[in-house]
Formats: sequence, C-alpha cells, structure tokens
Amino acid sequence: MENSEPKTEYHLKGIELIRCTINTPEGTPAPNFNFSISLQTQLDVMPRTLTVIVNVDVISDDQKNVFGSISVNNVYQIINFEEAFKLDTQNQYEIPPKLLEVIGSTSLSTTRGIMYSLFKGTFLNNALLPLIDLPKLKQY
Amino acid sequence: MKNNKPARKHSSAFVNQLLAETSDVEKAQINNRMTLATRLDDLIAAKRWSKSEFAAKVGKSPSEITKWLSGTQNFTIDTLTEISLAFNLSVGELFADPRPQIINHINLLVKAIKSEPIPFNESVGKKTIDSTSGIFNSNNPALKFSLPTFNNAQS
Repeated sequence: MENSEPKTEYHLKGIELIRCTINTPEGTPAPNFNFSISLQTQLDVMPRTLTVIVNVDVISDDQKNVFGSISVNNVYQIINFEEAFKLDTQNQYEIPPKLLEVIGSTSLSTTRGIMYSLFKGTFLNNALLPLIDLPKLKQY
Repeated sequence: MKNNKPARKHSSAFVNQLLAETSDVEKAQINNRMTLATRLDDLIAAKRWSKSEFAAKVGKSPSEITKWLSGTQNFTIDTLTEISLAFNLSVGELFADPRPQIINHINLLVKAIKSEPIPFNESVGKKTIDSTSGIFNSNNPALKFSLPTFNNAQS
C-alpha cells in the first residue's frame, strides 16, 4: 500500500534546557520515583520549526512532593515546510502523525539523557525516565 | 578556505545621515510595510499559490503583486479587505504575529510499583516491552512502572 504522507525533511535545530530543579527530601531513604510527564508539540510558522516541549516532574507516591523537575525544548527545523505541511480549511497546518511520533520519541530520549546527566551523583541518580512507546499510546 | 574573521561593523556617514533624517513615524511606516509584505509572502507560500494565482484571486496583475511584496505599497483599507478575504482571515490577522499552533499536548503519569531503593551502581536489568501499555519495563523491580494515566488536551 502506498504511503500517502509527504516525506518531511527536517533536522534537529536546537536543544534548550529551560529548567532543572532538585529538591532533596530531609532524612528519608531513596524514595519511589514516579514521573509526571508532559509533552507538547507546537508549530512556529515563521521560523518553520516544530518544537517539542518536554516537562518531567519526579514525584512521590502521593504526588505531593516533587523531588526533581526538568523542562527541555527540542526544536526541529522543517526544510520542506510548504511541501510537507498543508493548511486545512481553518488555516491550521496538518502535521503527518508519523512525524509527530518520531520527534516525540526523539525528544523523550533526549530529555532522558539530559536528566541522567544532570541527576547523576544525586539521590535522583536512579530516576531514569521510563521508555515510552508513543505510537502505542492511542491518545498521542 | 575558511574565513575565521568576524564580521566588521560598517559605518557610513551617508547612511548615518539618512537614518538621522528619518523620523520615528517614517521608521514605523516602513517597518509596518515590510512586515505586511513578509506576511503576505508567507501566506502565499503557505497556500502554495503562485503570484499569478494570488493576483487572480484579488483581481490584480502579477506585477502589482510584485510591488506589494517589495514592501513599498501603501495599502488602502479596501485592498487590505480584499487580501484578507482571499486568505480567509480578518484584516487584523494580517498584521498579527502568527502565534505558535499547538499540535498536541499529552500528560502521562508513570507510577513506580515497588518501593525498594537500588544502589547507584547497580546495573539495570534486561528490558522487556509491555505490549499493552506502551511502556518498556525493566526486570529490575525498582524500575518497573504501572500503566500510565492520560490527560490528553489536544487542541
């Protein structure tokens, strides 16, 4: 079956570490690490970029304490913007779903690496961001 | 051959004199004309129209469109209205900074299952994929996670 999605040419333009915090709990052993993850993809028409903003909070079991937090912008430059993205009737661009999956997964991996690098040697050393298979999340 | 010299700041008495003679109002007028020309160019490209196609939609000649895109045209409100209708926008949107379009936004909560802390240097176990959740689990019990919960705010 022929793939009707246009081929998108793009490259990673930049990685921006927006925020990183570590809050060490007092007098407690290494806690469970739960992750509250937010993934937002936004399109900027003028610079022709897609930006995936990944926010991760490492939280306690009761979700009341935030042990650590990180926010990373992953900026992708779309080379063939006009060819790959079409405007719909509401003047909104239609983005190929496969592209969203790829850059979402790439951004999560990038954030995982940055987290590991920044949290290494702290009590968050083992707070490894789980591997998430975005295409399997039907909501994505 | 690679040129490692930084760009020099150019200073010209003639250019400085011209800038000094330009009033703030004239600078704002030029800025608005250039901004509108750039916006028109982007909108035409986004619609994948040629200049001729756009000219036909607004009832002008292609040479007129070229003049518009040069940033020297002083548009009337009637012409701006015709242009905005061609793009299915309001006149105000022609001048507005195009805001980022939110494509999707998801929230996930990945919960740890077991409460055993692991030493810093302990190696991570062999990875297995949980076919139902989309989350890869580890054989290391301290790194296993439950199903994510979703709060999808797609816009």
